[in-house]
This record gives sequence, structure tokens and C-alpha cells, in this order.
Amino acid sequence: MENIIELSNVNYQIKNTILFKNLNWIIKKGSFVTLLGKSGVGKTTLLKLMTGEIKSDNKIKINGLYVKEENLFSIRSKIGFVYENPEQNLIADNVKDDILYSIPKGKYTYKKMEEMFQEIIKFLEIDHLLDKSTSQLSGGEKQLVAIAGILLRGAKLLLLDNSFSMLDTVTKNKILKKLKFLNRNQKLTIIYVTNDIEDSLYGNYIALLGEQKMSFFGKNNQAFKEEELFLKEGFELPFMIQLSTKLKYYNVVTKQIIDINKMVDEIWK
Amino acid sequence: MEIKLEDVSYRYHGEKKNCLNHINMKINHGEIVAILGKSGSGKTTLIELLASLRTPSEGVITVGNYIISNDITPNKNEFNFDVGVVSQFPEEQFLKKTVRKELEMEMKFFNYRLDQVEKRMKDALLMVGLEEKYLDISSSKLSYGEKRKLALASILVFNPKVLILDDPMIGLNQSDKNKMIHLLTMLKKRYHKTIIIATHDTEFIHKLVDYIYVLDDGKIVLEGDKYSVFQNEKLLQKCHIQLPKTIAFSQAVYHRRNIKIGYRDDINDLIKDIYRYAK
Repeated sequence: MENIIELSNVNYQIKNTILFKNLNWIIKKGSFVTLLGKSGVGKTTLLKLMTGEIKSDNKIKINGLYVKEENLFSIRSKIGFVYENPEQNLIADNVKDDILYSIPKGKYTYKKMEEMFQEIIKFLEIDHLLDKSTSQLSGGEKQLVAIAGILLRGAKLLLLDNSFSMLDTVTKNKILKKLKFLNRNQKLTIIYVTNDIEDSLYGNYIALLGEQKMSFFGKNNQAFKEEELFLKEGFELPFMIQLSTKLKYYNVVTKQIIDINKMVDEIWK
Repeated sequence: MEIKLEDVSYRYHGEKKNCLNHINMKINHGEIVAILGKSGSGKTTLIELLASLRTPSEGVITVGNYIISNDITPNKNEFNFDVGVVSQFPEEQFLKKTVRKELEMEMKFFNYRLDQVEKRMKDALLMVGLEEKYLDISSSKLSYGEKRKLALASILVFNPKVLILDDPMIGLNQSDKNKMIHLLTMLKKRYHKTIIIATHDTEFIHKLVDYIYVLDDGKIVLEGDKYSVFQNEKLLQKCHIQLPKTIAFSQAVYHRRNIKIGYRDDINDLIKDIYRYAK
């Protein structure tokens, strides 16, 4: 699979604080990466460097193109960025207008747009929000509307900056499951910044951003072997991973089990 | 301070339906209370009523000696001195350029002596886990999580009796959350603060709450201490509230094997129980 994101020796500093020093990071097309890191370590900055919203030293490639002025239009047309604060994503007062606004003008017929709109509403199960104005929505509902608009744009790369932080866990898990579906079936590449390590179980790679560089980047299974590294950055491993590891240690189970019910059945056979 | 809501309803201007319906609550002095509910259930509106940012359409709210109703509102300055509020969007709360100015403003407003101001600022930052160097950083340059910590610090500087926190854990990672649990427990135990937290993060609150109200579609559908509330798995599921992981595990063991292994807050205690019952 080809690389969709390439960062080679990226340096970035704000005034006297060095945020990244010789940062290298390569992401293959079709990956679902959970990006973790302490608050203030530069996760949002890293995403914004990729979209060119923050200028860097031209060492970042997206889809084979360097992130610089003349390529920005082409790069951004492939990227969907959902901000942490949903207010930053919303434009129109009406929920439907807001979602439709993300389709470039004149690209599709009105009929086609309506079809795409209905499809995304059904996919995300958010028809109950349609008769509200965006200013009336709760924080979590705004985040849902924001993700609907971004998906409608048909982006190839989703950059999600803590985009589901205001959703309840049940709804969040539902959305993550749907994203995982798009990731598998449409080869959508996803970089998902979150503070909840439990979410990483939906993705297949984990990146742990430490001070100035990546502390870890690799497949989930490898990541879960590096407990010390994660604890150092303030993350306890997901609950079921911890439970599996500890129960394995006490010889209660023999393998790692993520599903609660299966775990119970395994312990009390 | 004791807080009471008697038959409180709220309707947004121009809406046909009540956003909050006949809410009754009683929060004792020095208690930590959680308001759980999914996105759009009315949590934030309820918080805004308690914070006297809105007035109820019907019913009466009493916060200590302050009364909030359709036609009575407390003196804003006095009320804000006793009741500290951190909203869901902390940046909306910031008015000044640097962290120092933001924190100073609050204290100057309440006429704190200047020689105390510096010390209080540093103490408050320390409590929320921000270093002293943050004082001279522009608040707009902070990350989302740091903004939330600053918002909390900006109410801790004037030492309110009641803390009202709208989803205080958004943007915080696990170690930040653990520090927040530690801080809130300390504020309760040592300073007897009354603390109200609106959230959907059961993993966070089950380690510290005394009492839980579950809000769904503008009504209180469930209330009680955490153990009694978390037993209503079906109702909670309907309200999109997930059980804390340790408790969910105990429930699964009970449902599938009819074994009661007890409710645990801590994963290590849970593992000891499993080990005991599995043998």
C-alpha cells in the first residue's frame, strides 16, 4: 500500500518552545490510526501542519504532494478535518444547509445532492436533528452534524481532532464502528486524536506522541506490549487489555479477549 | 451550601416543548453529585439554571440563601462569588490575553488584596496541574485540555462554596482525569465544597460521586447512590449511559453465570474477586 502521509525530519517551534524535532512518521493508505498524547504535546498542531493551516518547513507529503502553497487546494480537497470545538466546523444556521454546505458548489445536480444527503443522514442515524437550528444543538449533536458534513465531502483522509469528545460513549462507539466500516470498505484513511485509549480498539494502529517526537507508532497488538511507555505518557491500557494481561498472569485465561461476555465465558467454562 | 430544585421546568423561547420537565433535586452541603444524560438530554440547560444564567419558566431553585425563579434572580456579584461555574466551552469564559490577567481579573473583581493575588494564582494553577510558567502564556495558545484546566483554576482562585462543572473531563487524558478526581475529592473532604458535575463519563464519576441523577429527555428518570443507579442497566442503556467497566464486568458475570462478585471501582480489586470465584 502506498504512503498517504510522509513526515521526514519535521521541525517546528513556537517562539522558544520546540514542539517537534526531527519528527518522522509514515502512514500507509487505508490505516486507522489512533493518535494519543498528553494535552499540550502538539497533537492538534501536528494535524494542522498536515493541512497546511500551520506553515512548516516543507517536509510533509500528503498523497505524494508536498504541503506548500501551490498544492494546498489539491491536498485539502482530499482531507476532511473535524475540529475539537464543533463551533469551528458549523457554518449555516439550518442543520441541513450546514451539512450540504460541505459539497463544493456545482459539482453535483440538486437531485444527486439530495440523494447523498439522505444517505449520510441514514448512515449516521441523525434524522432527529434535522428540524433543529445549529445554535440549538448540544455540544455532542454539533459534533455529529460536523462529521456528517465532512463525510459527505468524500474525503480520502479524515483528520479527527478529538471530534467525538462531547458525545456519550454509546453514540461515540456507534460512530467509531461506522468509521471502521468506511475504513475497511472504502480504504478511508483515518487519523483520530482522542484522550480515551479505549477508542483505540476500533483502529488498527496506535501513535503515541511524546515530547518532540513519536514515542511509539505501530499496530495495536505491539502497542499493548509497551505498557510502560504508555503509562509514562499518562495512558493506562484499555480495560479489557489490562484484564486479559493480568488474568493471563494468574493463569485464569490463556489468551487476550476484548469482549466482556466472551471473557466471562472463558473464565467460567 | 445546600441546593434545592422544586418542580423546575424550562422552555426555550419560541419552543413548543419543555426542555426540562418538573425537576426535583436536593443536594446536601459538601456532596459531590453527578447529572448523567446523553447529549441533548438537558444537562447543560440544567447547569445553566443552577448557575443562574437562565431563570426557570416554572418552579423555584434555592442555592444556599439565594433564590432563583421566574421573577426573582439573585444579585449576580454575590452569587458569582459563592458559586463557581465552568462551562462546556471554556474559551467563551476567557476575556483577557494572558493566563495571569485572566486569573487576576476574577480576584480584583472580588477585591482581593494584591499581595494575596500572586500566591492564590500559583496555588490554583498548581491544583489543576498547570505549571507556573503558564501564567504568562496567552490563553488562546493553550490546548483544549489546558483551557479546561485554566477555566477550573479561574474559579478556584476566589474559593467558591459551590462548584458547577459542565463536562469537566472533555479534553483531558486519563492521568489528567485521575488528577481531577484527586482534586475534587480533596475539595470535598478538606474544604467541604458542594460539587455538581454534568457528564456522560461514568468511568470518571463513579470514583467520586455521592449521588447520581439521570436525565433523559428533560426528565429525571433515575436517582440514587451509584450502586443502586448502576444496577438499572436496561434503563441506563436507553439513556445512552455506559456502565463503568468494572461494574459492567460484574454485571456480565451475574447475568451469564449467576455469580455475584461484588461491585468494584478498581480493576485490581476486581481481578482478586475473579481469581477467588473462578477457582
